Amino acid sequence: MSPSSLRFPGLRAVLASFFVYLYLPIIVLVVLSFNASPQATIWTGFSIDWYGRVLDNPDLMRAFRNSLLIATTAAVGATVLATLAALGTQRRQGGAVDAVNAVIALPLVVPEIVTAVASLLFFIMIGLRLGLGTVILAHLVFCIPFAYLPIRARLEGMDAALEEAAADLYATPAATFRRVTLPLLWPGLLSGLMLAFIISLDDFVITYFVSGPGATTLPVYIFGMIRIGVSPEVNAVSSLILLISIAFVAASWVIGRLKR
Amino acid sequence: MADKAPAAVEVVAVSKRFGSGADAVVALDEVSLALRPNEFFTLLGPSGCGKTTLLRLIAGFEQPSAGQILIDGEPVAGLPPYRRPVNTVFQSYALFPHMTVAQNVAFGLEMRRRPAAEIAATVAEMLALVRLGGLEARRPAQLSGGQQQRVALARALANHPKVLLLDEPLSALDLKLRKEMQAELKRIQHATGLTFVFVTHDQGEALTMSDRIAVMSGGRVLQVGTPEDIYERPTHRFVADFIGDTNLLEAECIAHDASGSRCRVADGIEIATAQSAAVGTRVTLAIRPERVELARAAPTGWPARVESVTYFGTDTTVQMMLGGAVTFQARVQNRNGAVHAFAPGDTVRVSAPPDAVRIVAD
Repeated sequence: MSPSSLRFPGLRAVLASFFVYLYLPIIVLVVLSFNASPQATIWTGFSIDWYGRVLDNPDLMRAFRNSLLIATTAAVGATVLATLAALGTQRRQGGAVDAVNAVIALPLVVPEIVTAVASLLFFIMIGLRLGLGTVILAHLVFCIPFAYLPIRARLEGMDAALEEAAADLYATPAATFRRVTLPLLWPGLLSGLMLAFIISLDDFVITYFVSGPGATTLPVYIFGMIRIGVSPEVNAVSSLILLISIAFVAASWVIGRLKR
Repeated sequence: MADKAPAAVEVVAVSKRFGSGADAVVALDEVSLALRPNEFFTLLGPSGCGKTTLLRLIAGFEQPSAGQILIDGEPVAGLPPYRRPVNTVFQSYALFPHMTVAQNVAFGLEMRRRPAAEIAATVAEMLALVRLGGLEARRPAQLSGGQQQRVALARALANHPKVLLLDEPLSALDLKLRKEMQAELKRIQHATGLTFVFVTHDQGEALTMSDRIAVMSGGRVLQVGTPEDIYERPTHRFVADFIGDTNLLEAECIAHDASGSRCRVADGIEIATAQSAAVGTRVTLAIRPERVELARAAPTGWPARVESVTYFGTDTTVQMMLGGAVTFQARVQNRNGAVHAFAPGDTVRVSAPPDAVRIVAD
């Protein structure tokens, strides 16, 4: 008996309500971002004014630039470190490698608030001044597992004989890496890079704890706006972030699936 | 052998252990071989016999635990694969998927920084040699299994290695393509005059393609010889059993003279062999089924009872019981309706010429 032969009456309705529950708030947010009314929740007419306001808000744009800088730096740094880790554990087996993998993936399951508090205390303890630097350091750390997983998956799927073939054809280890390993790893690298970027861009909790003055990121800024009152401007900027996130995740997925 | 030219590959008392201490696995146990220049040399054996390990030691992917390897007279201990004058055709082909056919073939030459004009000429020459002209711009994924195999061959040959190593290169191909590539490999070996070291577990492939075969089992080389030597004059029970079908009989040597020995298999069944063994020793005799002669009413030969008769197209196999306790088979060519000549339950007379009866070591 295959699972598809199981039929319950009303399954469609349940499924439909599940998707409504999941996506309706987001759809409402995006729709209201085009609302002409200054009241965030009452529809009066179509307008793109709020998007104009977002782009004209210097504080918001500074927060956006901070977010881009942090996400880019953290994602690139995390991808480099994750690549080195993946190459280091490549085609090795045994308890040591399992332990390394577990430790690298651990940040995925540590509650974010714990990481946030721990990072904050650690930075204060070693005397680092809170600012862009501490945010980048903290982001780099929690981005590593997100970059590591696709890169490692790509390496695991690679035929070990390819690198031996390169060595057999007179390629030194450096040439083998440049001409064979890296080009084949590329989709995994890009995939990991984009995933790390979007995770960093979205982060709130850790950023909120370790960012000092002048290091406000977009999510932290939006949180500040909400405290004053939900304006359609918040809807507009949230919709923009949603667009960027979807674009990146989609690109990451497409690249990850590129033919070998 | 007093050859003036050095052996293409010389393997001297090479052992290879994986792991250490009590858990160590001995993959090769003091193997020694000397390969002649220009020969098609096959390492034959079941999986786990060490044949691929030996190939990987020659290529430089592994280092021996003991002993040494010389390529063209030069010791290669400690040399990494990219400094050895050998090239490999991998079982999985290991073509670079992100490069075109031409880029794959050019790879080794580029790594050795040959001039562009020479690379282009060699690539064209190699693709013509393996009959793949016109497919230069394809990617490996766009090729059939047989075509990928040819690219792998061209990529290795383009470097004009002293020795070409082939690791079960035909095992991924279907039967028809495999036959085609067997002929193709022989043609290319003749055309290039290279020494081929060919690893296979397929005894038919080994017999038809090789100049010489080394039969391996359990990390040791049991016998080295021409296909005919290996098949007609096996020295070990394993060799006789692994290659083709064979009758193995336990016997005791009861007499011997200048022309050979007589061995007793059971009461009333005495077999003459052209080889000599000391009287009183226990020996194992190997007899190929097609060398066995069957007759209904010959005055001589050992009495046997037919158990079953199986038709195989070109020949018929007759399973018998010898002396009531020993199973024995004969293969009779289907020229005169042999399938109808014998039936289960018949009593027949069996004999074999002394040169077809081989004493094999365990």
